Amino acid sequence: MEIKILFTGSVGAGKSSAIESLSDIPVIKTEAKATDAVSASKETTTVAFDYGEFALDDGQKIKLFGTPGQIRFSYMWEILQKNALGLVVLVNNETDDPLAELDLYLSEFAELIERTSAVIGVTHLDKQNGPTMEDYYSYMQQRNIFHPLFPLDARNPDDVKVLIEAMVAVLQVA
Amino acid sequence: MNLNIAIRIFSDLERSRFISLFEIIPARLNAQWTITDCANADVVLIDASEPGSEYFLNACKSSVAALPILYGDSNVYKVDWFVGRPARASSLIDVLNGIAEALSNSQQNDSTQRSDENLNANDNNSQKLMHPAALMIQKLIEDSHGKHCQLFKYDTLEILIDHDLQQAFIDDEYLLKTVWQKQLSSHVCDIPQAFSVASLADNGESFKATNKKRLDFKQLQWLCFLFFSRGIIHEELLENSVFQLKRWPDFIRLPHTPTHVLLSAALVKRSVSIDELARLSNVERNIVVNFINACHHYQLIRNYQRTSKVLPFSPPKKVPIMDKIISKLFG
Repeated sequence: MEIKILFTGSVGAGKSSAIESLSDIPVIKTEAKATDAVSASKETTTVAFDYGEFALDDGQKIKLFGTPGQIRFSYMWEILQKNALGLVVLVNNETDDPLAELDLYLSEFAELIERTSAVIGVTHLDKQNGPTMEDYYSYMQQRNIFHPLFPLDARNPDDVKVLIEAMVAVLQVA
Repeated sequence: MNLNIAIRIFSDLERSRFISLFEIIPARLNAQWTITDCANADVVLIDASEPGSEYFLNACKSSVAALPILYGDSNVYKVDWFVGRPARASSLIDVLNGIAEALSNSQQNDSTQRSDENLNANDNNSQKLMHPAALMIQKLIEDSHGKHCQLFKYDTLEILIDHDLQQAFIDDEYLLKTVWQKQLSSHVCDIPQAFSVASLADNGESFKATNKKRLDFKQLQWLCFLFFSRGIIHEELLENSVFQLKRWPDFIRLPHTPTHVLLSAALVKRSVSIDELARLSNVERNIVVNFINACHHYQLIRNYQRTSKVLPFSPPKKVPIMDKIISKLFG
């Protein structure tokens, strides 16, 4: 049976980097040149999905899928979430309204989250005067959301591993 | 009179010798002696030649901690009670009976003075209740304040404190894997005073180069509660109540093992008592308490008396794929 971990989140949040930092193989990307508002922050963006994988000691593969960040590609979201073990939501704190984006992803993937588990990573915290981690914690508390939430650098494999570690722990006590 | 004694002797041979002696001498003792750990001892037998003995002796003398008996060379440290090497039944009996008599006299004096000492008693209690992790923090951070760079060492565990940088340097691989695998039951975590301390000539540059993990002092405090709590609940918490995490600890920054992450997942979901959490997560009670202490220190946890009925719960699911993922990622 296919075992999959899904990475979603806002444009530039580091989904591709997070997958790269875990994957045993070069990540397969379906990128296109960014032509809209995205082009201000990055040259290319994911239009279908990113794919990476790592092998467990017994050879079984864990597949890592990254969804496109832009909502106009959201038709891919539903396709990708089938059979997912859990969801990693990455939030780019540099966007105009990162808390609203977090809200969007938690809503869009509510069924998957209910069925499995979700973990949230906030990236680019050091680069702008956006929400602080305290704002994120308040947001979660006000909505009675208890998903693991961490500030991280998606390029750092140790940081990304902690997300997966937390996801697994939530699944174990579910 | 019942007295507890701890044998803080790390040589297996020497330790066995004392345990054997204790088996054969009870009839000749004027008190009943039970061998226990340092945390619960009235008296501690300390080998003068072993690392950290001086700090441990000083700690015993300077607080309401256990009474020390020095084993080995009487010229090394000035003490009231001493057993020469090699240990013989007769000398051990003399010392133990002498201590029992002294303590008995002391208790009688205490009881006559107790009514006059109510005010002082509060001060003594606060000293007595100082948490082991707080003692460790005091030793590492507060006592060495003003010294630029100091190395604390016990056995192979080394912690460098750089006050100029406000950072600690530590081999976290050793701490999180080696010490953790011993379930922290070893003496290393029992006795903050056992750590030797030394100033480093090169300001610790060579040490820093080989011990890459840097912790700021807040992270170090987390670590102290996690590893040096000895399973004793923080005095501000109610042990017989329930606990719930307000938010997840920042495991990106805070040293941890997968067990701590599992505990978080269980503690975020519902309010549970310590024993329930130990059963729910299949984790040793001491580890649960240490983790709750660390979370409390970081103000991450609620603690209150249970008002609602206990909901049934089941232990964590043993899903092989989860264990395999953790094993793959963390080795």
